[in-house]
Formats: sequence, structure tokens, C-alpha cells
Amino acid sequence: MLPCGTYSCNYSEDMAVLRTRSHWVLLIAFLVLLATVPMFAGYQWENFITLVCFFVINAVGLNILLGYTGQVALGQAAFMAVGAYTSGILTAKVGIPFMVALPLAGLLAGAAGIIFGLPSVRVKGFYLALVTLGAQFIIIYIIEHLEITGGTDGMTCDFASIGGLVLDTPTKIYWLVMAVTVILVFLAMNLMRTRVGRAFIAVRDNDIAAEVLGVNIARYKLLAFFIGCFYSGIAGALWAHYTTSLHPSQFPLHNGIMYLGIIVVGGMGTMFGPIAGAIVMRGLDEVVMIAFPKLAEALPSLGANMAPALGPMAFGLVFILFLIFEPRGIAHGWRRLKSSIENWPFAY
Amino acid sequence: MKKFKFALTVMVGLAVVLALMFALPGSAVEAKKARSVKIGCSHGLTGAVAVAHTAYMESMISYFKDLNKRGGIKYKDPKTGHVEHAKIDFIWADDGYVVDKCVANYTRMKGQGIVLFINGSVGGTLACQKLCARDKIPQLHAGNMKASLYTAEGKPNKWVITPSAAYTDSFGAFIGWLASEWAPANLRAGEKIKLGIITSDCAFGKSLLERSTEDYMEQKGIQYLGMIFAGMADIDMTPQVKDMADKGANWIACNHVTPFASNLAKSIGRLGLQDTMHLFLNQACYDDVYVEMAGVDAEGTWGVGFTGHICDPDPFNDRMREVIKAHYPRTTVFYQHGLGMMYARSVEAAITFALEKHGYPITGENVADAIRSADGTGVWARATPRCLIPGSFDCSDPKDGVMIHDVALLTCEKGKMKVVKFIHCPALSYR
Amino acid sequence: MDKFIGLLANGLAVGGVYACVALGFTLIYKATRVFNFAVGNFVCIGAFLIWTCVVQLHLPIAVGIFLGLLGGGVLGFLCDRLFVRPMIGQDILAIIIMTLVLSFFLNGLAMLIWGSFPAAYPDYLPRGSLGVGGAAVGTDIIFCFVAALVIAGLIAFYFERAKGSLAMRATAEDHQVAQAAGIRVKNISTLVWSVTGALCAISGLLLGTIRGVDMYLPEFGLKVVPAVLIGGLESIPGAVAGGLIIGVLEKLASGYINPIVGGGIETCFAYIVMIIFIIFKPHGLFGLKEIERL
Repeated sequence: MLPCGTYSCNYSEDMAVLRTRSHWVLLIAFLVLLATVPMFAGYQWENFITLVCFFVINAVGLNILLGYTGQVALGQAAFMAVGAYTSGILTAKVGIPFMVALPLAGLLAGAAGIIFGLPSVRVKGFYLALVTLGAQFIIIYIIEHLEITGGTDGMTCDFASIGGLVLDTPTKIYWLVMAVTVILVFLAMNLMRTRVGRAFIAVRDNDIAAEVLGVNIARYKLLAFFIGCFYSGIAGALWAHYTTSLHPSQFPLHNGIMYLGIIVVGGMGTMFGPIAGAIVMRGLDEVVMIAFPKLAEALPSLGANMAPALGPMAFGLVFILFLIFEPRGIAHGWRRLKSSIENWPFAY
Repeated sequence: MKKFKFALTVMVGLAVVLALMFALPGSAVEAKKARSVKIGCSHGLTGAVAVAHTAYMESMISYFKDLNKRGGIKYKDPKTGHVEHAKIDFIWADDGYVVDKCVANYTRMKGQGIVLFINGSVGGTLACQKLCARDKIPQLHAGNMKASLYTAEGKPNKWVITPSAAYTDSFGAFIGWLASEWAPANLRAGEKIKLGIITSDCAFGKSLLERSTEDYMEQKGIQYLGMIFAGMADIDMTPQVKDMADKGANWIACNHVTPFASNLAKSIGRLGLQDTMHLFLNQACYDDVYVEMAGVDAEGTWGVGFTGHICDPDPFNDRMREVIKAHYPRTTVFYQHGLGMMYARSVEAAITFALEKHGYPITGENVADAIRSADGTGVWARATPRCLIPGSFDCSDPKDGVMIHDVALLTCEKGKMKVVKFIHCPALSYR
Repeated sequence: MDKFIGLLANGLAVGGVYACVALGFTLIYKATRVFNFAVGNFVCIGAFLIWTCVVQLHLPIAVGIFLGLLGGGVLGFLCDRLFVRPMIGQDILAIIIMTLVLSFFLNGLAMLIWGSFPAAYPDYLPRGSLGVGGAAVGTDIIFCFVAALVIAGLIAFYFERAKGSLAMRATAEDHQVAQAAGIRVKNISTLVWSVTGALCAISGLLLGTIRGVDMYLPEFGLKVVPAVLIGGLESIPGAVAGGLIIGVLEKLASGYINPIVGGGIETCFAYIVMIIFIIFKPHGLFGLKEIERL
């Protein structure tokens, strides 16, 4: 939606994300705001936003895989585990510096993604969803039975250190995670504007037609898997240095389904969608976790058992309501709101 | 227009949600004129271990409510010399046994100013270890895993404490009892005790055994036949039991509760081995359900239960019995709330000690320091589970760090769990 | 040899239950192209319902089973009306996510009503075991297997042969054409969901008899999905065959492979087999091969 009087006269202007000066100003102001959050927000908010960023990275990766390329992936939590353990082992046991281990973790997770994404060349839809579901269980099984990962006892690693600086306080971790998130979202947004992005969308919309037109769907599907799982791997590596302690139980199937829900609620196939979805879902989680103990104490007849059970129920209900009433997600609703405001008092 | 209204409603709804979030964390705001100490607790009230954790949480909530009603913790302020009271502000949340949420709970509670964090999940404890060390808040790990109690270098972890015996400790006590009391009474001359472990392939199931446990068994003349795995959800373990029977096992040990334990008992019964092969369950909680499911095949199985002080004639305990009977009518009151009470009383003791040593207000570091410097009259287990020190269940040497809970060795007779041997530990003495 | 027979017997019993639940899954897919990931929760709620009737209300077992079937049917009906009906016409992905999220919701519901206690049925089967070739197979396991096969067989027979099945297959092909031919699409959808709910309730009873009722039952539902895939997604005999095969393979793997790898293979063995099938024979053993056109 360009302001009145602004036209695009050539291709690069048309494709530009930041078209007018006010766009630039807003973007810079927003980035400055993100960087200075620790100065005015409390410890809790910092941590909340850090945890949201983990979800955002995963969701953006999954969005590339599912929203833009149409490949259903239920096993993202396991690829996050691959990245986390890779980074943990490389920094703690092999002694590789964090800045090298981080991309390596992403690469390894991406490679694992390609291996489990190979069936996507032959099958799609439900079948692919099940292959990735199998990936979730198989990867976790492998992690539990390797010596080097500590098996079912888990392993510990240190806080990340860049140069001589050790990132151990919540604020420093926040800056690291936020910086990585901003870079990755920026890369994802630009990827979708290139030829590769267009090929992904073609594969999603009708892969047979795309093949007829000359798009090598096998190559692009595997590339999508690689990128999606690369993102999860990076998120995992950051997670490893956030909690400094890894255990296979930190990456359950429940998380993988959550990421799926996040991009559906946020809006698939848009950049804003996963971010909005992550904030809403994480926020809802927090509200549920805070509110229900208070509810239980206010109504003692419920007991400590009943009130927490309402948590997953409320969560599921919100999801379901979104799916029924706003299936294209928050991003779509936001766009509708924006356009109706901008067109007011006209209807369209 | 309709679409616009709907979109607007959604946006407003989201705004309300975010506003609530702004409001709620900061809103632990009832200006407390009385002194209060904040304790945070995160357990899996929904999810895989909901039964256990709900029980612990309910007893902790009731215990602290009761404590506060009676005025709170009574202590002698070191600065003024007066006797003061401090209430316990018990902040609890559910983490669904999922580690993300546990970490989120911990960070949120840390922001609210807790001085002690009670954590029920193994994964959560591991994930919060460094965070707690960095924030200097002791973590009471409501479980007994070596991985959480020791640092990577093998030293005791200053910031993790546990008030309960390690699984290897209780298993060790059982081995001691087996060799010194059961064997002379039940074995013929020349026979040996042959013990095998059937468990599932997870950290919890495998935590029964360590190098030192095997050495202890050898020392006591018990032949250890090895560990065989069965699936957590297996309906029948006759192949595994048969394997053990072929090796000549007369005792099987297991670290699980129902339904794994029930199915194991049923499998032994199916093969007709009830009289020759005995089953030891290292955790005999939720006994009624276990006994009911295993039925006739449970006859003669043994177990270890933690009992708390629920047997004391104490008005609080009587009320607890009523509460338990109302919510969990199928449970034998004797065991179900042992652990929860134990955590609550350890916390009470720890905070009292910290207040008496450092005065009000206290920090997490004060609490950790107070716990570590227990002078022998304080009563909680240390953070270093001593594996298999003979008599670790006897509580004979209070300077070593004593368990504050009572322990019972149980047997299943005629469809009910009965106490074979009851070890009473010194009660909390600060009151 | 007796180890093999013991594992085989257990595998067949669990496989029988998988077959029943897989049948429910396939029925829903055949009629409405919806993948119902919430079958595990139907099993769990059905099992707890029967437990409530039999143990808490002290009704005789036959009445309890009947009420459980009714309750399961009602649950399926409600899920169809409230959650699936509004999603008609939407993307297949949205429906998959709807059922995944429905399983969260039903999990919470089961916990709210019954707590997370494990529970047991009273002994309504004779205790004891049969010696089969040196192994001891419990009578309750044999009963479970036979009952599961009988039930699955009845339902399969009805839906394969009776007139109703033709209507179902027509609905699965194309809703609009089926409606043009006079078939009430909405009724078919409700019918299969209710039948699945009832089937899952009875499977819950069988599972509860052999291993007790607890909140692990929903995870069984996830195991059914590989079974359906191996048997062939749209095939009713395929669902039964797939369930039995997965049950047996899982048990054999846990018996023979576990000692080599150190345990725990049964959590992912079904998925390994499923992935192999997807790569080499995506339509399963009995499934229909779909030819996709532009």
C-alpha cells in the first residue's frame, strides 16, 4: 500500500521492500527499539522476547518450507535438536569457537533435513508429513543412543563466547539472539524476492505445472528442506548456549506441532505471519501459565489438577477458533484491517 | 463492514491479551505489610507425570497456606534478637513437563524475586542449572538424578539440592536388607540371591544402577544378572522375564510404577513364577492402582515408599488425610503425599535457617549458604547422594546429613500394601 | 522358539487393537479425506468412559461396554459437528492441523474430567495363560486379539459389501457429484466419525484390559498412522493388515533388536518401516494408486 502520489516506475522500485523514506525511518526506529529493549524492559520481558525469538527463527524456517514451498514438516523440533547438540559438542568437546560452530550446526541440521526430505521428491502432502514425523522420532532415538551426546543423561556446554566476550547475562544473550533473528528474517525476506523464492512458490502452487515450465522441483524441494532445517539448526545452537544443558526431552513432538500451529495462526506464506504467530502463541502460553494458578487459588474446588488441565484446553481452543474463523492467519487479518482503514470511508 | 468488524475484534482481543501480560507478571502487588519470602515452583501438572506432580503440588500449596494461616515461619532475627514472623509467598505454575515452559517459568519467577526454585522435572533441572548458578538461586530438584546433583567436573552442584534419597540410595538400602535379613530367613544353604533388572530405556528407568551399586551387590554376595529393557508401554514382558528366569533369577528389580510395574507382575504370574521370583519396586507410589491392575500376581511384591510425616498425630496431617481422601479416594493415604510434604518441610526448614542466619530480607545466596552450613542439628539431606553407605536408611549419624522423611519398606499382601519395616527419621526440630 | 511365539502373540494382540483403530482412521479418510490425528484421544476418552461406567458407577460390564460405545459415538459426532464441519472446503493442511490441535484439546479434556490417574478394569476375564509351544500367552491377550479381529472384521465386511460403502466411496471422490446423485454427504461424514468414535472406545477397552488405562493411550493413536500407511491409505483390508503387521514387527524388533542397540527401538521402529514403504511403495500394500493430473 503506497501512499497517495507514489508510483513505481521501474522493476526495482516495484520489488522494493522499503519504498519511501518513511519506511526507512520506521525500520531504523524499530531496530533501535529492539536493540535498546534491555534498557527499559525488565528481566522478565527480556527473557520473554528471547524465548519468542527462538520460536520466530523456527517459524520463519518452517514458513519457508511449508508456507512458500508447500512441504509439510512436523519434525522441526528434532532438527533443532540436531543443531543444538552439534553446537554443544563442537564447542564443549572439540573446542571450536562459537562463531564457527553456529553455522556448522545449521549446516548439519540442513543436511539432516535433506536426508529426511529425500522422500519429498517422490511423495507429498500427508505422506511427507509422516516422513517428517518419523524423522522426529528417529532423530531423537539416535541422539539418545550415541555416546558423544551423553545419551539419556544429557550433556552440558558453556555459554557462547565471541572473541573474548562471554555471553552469560540475560541481556547479552538477548542481543545475540535478537541479532541473529534479525539477520535471518532479513535473509528470508530477501530470499523470497529472488528467483529461488519464485521457484518455491511455483512448487507450492502446482508442482507438476512448475516442472512442465522447467523448474527442477526435486532440486528446489531439497533446497527448501535444507533452508528450513538450517534455520531450525541455528535456533537449536542458540538454545544450547541459552540453557547450557541439553537433554533429548527438550525437543518433543509437541514443540514441532506448535511451530506448525504458529505459522498457521500467524499466516502462512507471509513474512509477518510467523513473527505475529510466535508472539501470540508464546504470549498465550505465558498468560495461561500465569492465569491458571491464580484461577485455581480463587476457586479452591478446582484443585491443582483441574486448573492446569484447562491450560492445554484453552490453548487448543484458541487455535481451533483461529482455524475456523481466520484460517489465513493474523497476517491476513492485519492486511484486511489496514486496507479497510486506508480505504475508509470507502468499502474497497 | 462485517469483515472489518471481525478483524477489529481480533486485534482488540490480541491487545487485551498483551495488556493482561503486562499487568499480570507485575501484579503480585498485594502490598504485604507482613514480611514475605517468595518461593517459586514449576511442576508438570499436565503431561507425562501429571499424577505425581499434582499430588506434590497440592500438598505443597496446602502446607504453605496452612503455615501462613498460623502466622508463617517463626524465627529469631539475628540483628534485633526478637522473634519475628515471615510468610511464604508460594508462586506455582504448570510446565506440562516441557522444558521450554519450565525455563520460561523460572525466568518469570526470578523476575518476581524468588529466593528458591522448586523444580519437578529432570530435563527442566538440567536446563536451569547454569541459569540458577548465574542468578544465584538454589534449585530444589524434586527428583534424585545424579546428572543434576553433580557438575560436569564431578563436584557437588552448589545450586541444586534434593531432599530425597537418590534412587541408588534406596536400592542400596534394599540390597542391604535383602542380604542381611531376607536371605538368611528364606534361602536354603548354598543358594545365592540372583538379581536382575527389568526396566525401560530412559534416564529414569536406568537411574537404579551405577558402578557402585554393582560393587555393593558383589560385596553383599548377590549375583547381578544384568539389565534388560522392555518398552514403557509394553503390555506383556514374559519374554524378558523368561530371559531372567533362564538365568536363574530369584529377584527382579524395577524403577517404574504402574502400569509398567503391574504388567511386569502380571508377566511373572503368567509364567507361574510367583513363588520363586520376587519383584522389588523401587518406588511403590500409587500402590492401589498397581495392586488392582496386577491383581493376584502382585501378591508378595515388595517396594519402597516415602511417607512424610503423615502418620504423626497432628491436626494438619488429619486434614491432609481428608483432602487426599476427597480428591484421590482410591489412594492409601499412607504414601501418596509423602514427597510433597517433604519438599514443603525442607523449604520451611531451609528458609528458617536462612532467616535465622542472615535476617530479613534474604537472597538466594543466603538460602544456599544456610543449607550448606547445616551444623548437624539442621535436618535435610545434602546435595551429594552417598551411594550405598551402609545404613543410609538408618539415619544413625545426623552429622552426615539426614533424610527428613520417613521411609518404609512395603509388601503387597492380600491386595493391599503393608509396611514391613518402617524407619523413622528425626522430625524437624526448629518449631 | 518360545521367545518368538511369545513376541508374536503379544504383537498380534497389540496389532489387533492397532487394526481396529486404523480401521477407524481409514474410514474417516475414505469418506471425507480428513486425516484424523486425534484417534488416540478417542481411544483414551472411550477407555476412561467405560472405566467410569464399570468401576465408578458399578454397572455390569456389558452395560458399561454399551454405554462406552454410545459415548464414543457421541464424541465422534460432536467432533464432526463442532470442529470438522466448519472446515469443509478448506486446505487439506488446515484440516490436518485442526485434528492435531483437537488432540491437544481432547487431552486437556480427559485430564480435566478424570485427572491423570492410571486406572484399571476389574477382572472380567478368566486369569491364567495358555502354553503355546513353550511360551505362556495370557488368556486376556488371546481374548483381546480375537475380539479385535472380530470387530474389525464385522466393520470391514459391512463397509466393503453393504450398500452404504458405495455411497461412502462416492462421497470420497467428489462431494458435489455425490450430492448430485442424491447422497447426503453430511450424513455420511457424521456416520463415519461416530463409527470411528465407537470403534476407538472398544479398542480402548481392549487396551485397558491388557495394560491398564492411563494418559499414555493417546500416543497409541500416533502409532496407528504408520500402520495405515503400510496397509494402504484407502483400503479397509489394508488397515487391518497394516495394524497387525506393525504390531508384530514392533514386538519382534523390541525382542531381537533391542539387546543389540541397547533398548528403546520400539519407539521408532514403526516409523522406520513406514519410511521404507513410503520410499519404495508409497501406496502401501493394498492401497489405490493415484494418478495426478494437472
